[in-house]
Amino acid sequence: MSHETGPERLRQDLADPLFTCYVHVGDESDVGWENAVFAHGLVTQLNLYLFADHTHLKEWVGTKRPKAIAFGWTDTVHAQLTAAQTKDLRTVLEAIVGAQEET
Amino acid sequence: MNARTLACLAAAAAAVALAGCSGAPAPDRAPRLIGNELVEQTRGREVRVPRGTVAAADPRSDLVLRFEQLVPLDDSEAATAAAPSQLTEALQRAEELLRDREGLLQELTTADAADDMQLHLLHRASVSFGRYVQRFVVELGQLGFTDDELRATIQDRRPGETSGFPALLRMLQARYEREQDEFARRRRLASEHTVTVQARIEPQGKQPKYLHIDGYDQLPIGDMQPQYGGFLGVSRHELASLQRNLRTVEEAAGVLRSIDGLGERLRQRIDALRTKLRDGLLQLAQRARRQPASFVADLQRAMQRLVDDAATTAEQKAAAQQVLTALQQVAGLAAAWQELAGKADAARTALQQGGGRLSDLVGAAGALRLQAKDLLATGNLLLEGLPKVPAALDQVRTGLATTGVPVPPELAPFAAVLAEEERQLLQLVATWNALLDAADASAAPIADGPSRIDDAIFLPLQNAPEARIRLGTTDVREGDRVHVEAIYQPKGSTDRQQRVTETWDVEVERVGFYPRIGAELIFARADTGTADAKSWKANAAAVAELHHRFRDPTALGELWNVLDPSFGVHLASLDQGDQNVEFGLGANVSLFAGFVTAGYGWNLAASENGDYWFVGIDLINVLGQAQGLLGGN
Repeated sequence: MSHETGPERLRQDLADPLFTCYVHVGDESDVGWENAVFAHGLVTQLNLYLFADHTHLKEWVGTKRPKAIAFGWTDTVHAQLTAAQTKDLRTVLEAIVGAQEET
Repeated sequence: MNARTLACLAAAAAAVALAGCSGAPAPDRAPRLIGNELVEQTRGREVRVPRGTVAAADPRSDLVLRFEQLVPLDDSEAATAAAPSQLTEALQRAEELLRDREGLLQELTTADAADDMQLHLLHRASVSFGRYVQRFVVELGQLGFTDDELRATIQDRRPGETSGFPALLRMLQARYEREQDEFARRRRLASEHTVTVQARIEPQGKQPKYLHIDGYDQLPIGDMQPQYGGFLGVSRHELASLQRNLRTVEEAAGVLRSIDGLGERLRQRIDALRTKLRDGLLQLAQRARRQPASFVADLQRAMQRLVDDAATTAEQKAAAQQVLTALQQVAGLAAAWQELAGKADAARTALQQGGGRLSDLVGAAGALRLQAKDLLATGNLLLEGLPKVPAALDQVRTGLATTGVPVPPELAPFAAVLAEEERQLLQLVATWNALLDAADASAAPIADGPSRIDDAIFLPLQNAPEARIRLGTTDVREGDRVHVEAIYQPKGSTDRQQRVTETWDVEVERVGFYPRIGAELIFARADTGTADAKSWKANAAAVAELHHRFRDPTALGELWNVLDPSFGVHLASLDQGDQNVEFGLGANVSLFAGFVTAGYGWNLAASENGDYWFVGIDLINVLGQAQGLLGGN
């Protein structure tokens, strides 16, 4: 599990076709982050990232400020979750698995 | 890893997903409450009846109460209950997932990112696995695990564990062990408890009645009784009650007969005492050459003269006064004995008259017992004075000696005889007292009215069959309230305090689409035609309507249910022309379950201008309901 706060590692891993990536923006105490960690412990081929803010995420989400971003096998953004959505374990799981399903 | 291996892996993951989780989130996988559940069964569907609220039940449905495994003795125990078998399945699934995940990760470590086919298959395997994980998480939720509990497993990960599954397995294992303990406890409870089910209909404006439940009563199907446990003729419980009462009556009768025997002996004793007193007085009178009555009177007068005579010494006066008092006592006691003998005779006569027939004896039991008690009360009063008789006679004897009046020599032995009689009389009365107490005790249920009947039929909870209430075969009607009770109590216990009761209430009403046929009072007028035809006239119509009611309505649905609109057709009797027989056919709409109807139709007897309007009211139903509310049948 990676907890990179910088964009370099994320950019590098997004180029790895063996993994999908899920980014949570916020703090380790967030329920959304705990959901992501829980999901990461169950599914496979997933890298997880925690960013403190959106500063380094503009190249993927522009001016949007999602609480979480689910990438597919490439650097394509599959889903952007709101804070409320990240608090729901099943929604987080769906975003992660749905991103993996996207070819 | 080659492409073939990955393909197999992906296929295996998909197969596991299909085998293990296909349909997993379906409703039948939801954890059921362990214990009983009341459901409403209609054609092709089954609806759970919740507790604590009044649910709707179709009048043609069956209400079925099941004791599937065990009984939750209160709601809190049932809240998080899950059968251990479901947890076992979840545990197995978690182990499979763990193995599959490790297999996928193993393949991942050797995967060639440049091999597109390999990548594709690996992606597919991960997606299948991810979907499987999703369903598994849903299943955990259905087993009662909260998201907080699931997230807490993150903290439970041990060093070296790269997956969340070992922690999940530990969580499941811990829950499984708890549930198994709870399951065993409830199984033990079930083996120690019995259950009965009763259903009571509470018709509007009428007395409640009990409905038949297969296996839980002996009512004929479709019959209803105002008292539980009744069947045609005499109920089993009434028979048992009568049997108990009969035994009580027999015991009371036995005691009363003993009292009768004792009364006879008492009567004889009193007679003997009276005879001896009379004989003693007679002897005294003969010695004085007087009649017994005048002898006592003369003796009293002589003593009174001594008391009044100024020449009499104080000692003589005191002795004379003593004799006077003693004589008064004896005379008073003699009168009381006479009265006692009369009462004993009356009691015995009453007992002998009633003793020939048990019903008379039962009917007379209370009165006879009261008579015996009255007799005894009189006897007790007499007994209080009885010890004074020999003493009084002794005082007469000593008093007379002091006054100088000759003392009859028979007086002393007479007093001794009386003392012996008194002793025997006291013994008899003590025995009589004990018998009366016994009669009181044995006849107490009779005096207090019918004994309380425990009318429930309790079956062992472990083998309790489902309780099925067939509303369609009873006389329930729309608007009636049916109250269902499951009553549990420890085996062998008759203590009502130990009973636990679960209840459900349903209101009988049609739900979904249903037809309704009725007769209405209508006021019809022709739309065109003569002035007479266009005047409102009262008539009757047969109406067939199609209704729909929502079972679990939203706010709008609730409004719909209250308004209960319908549409249908009607056949109306009319009076708009010159024909003897006129009837019309048309369409109509109604509100409030057919209470008010409006329609449009065509007078089939009219050659022209036959269209008409009408408004109607469901008069029969209204009158029926009014009669019910007024207490009529």
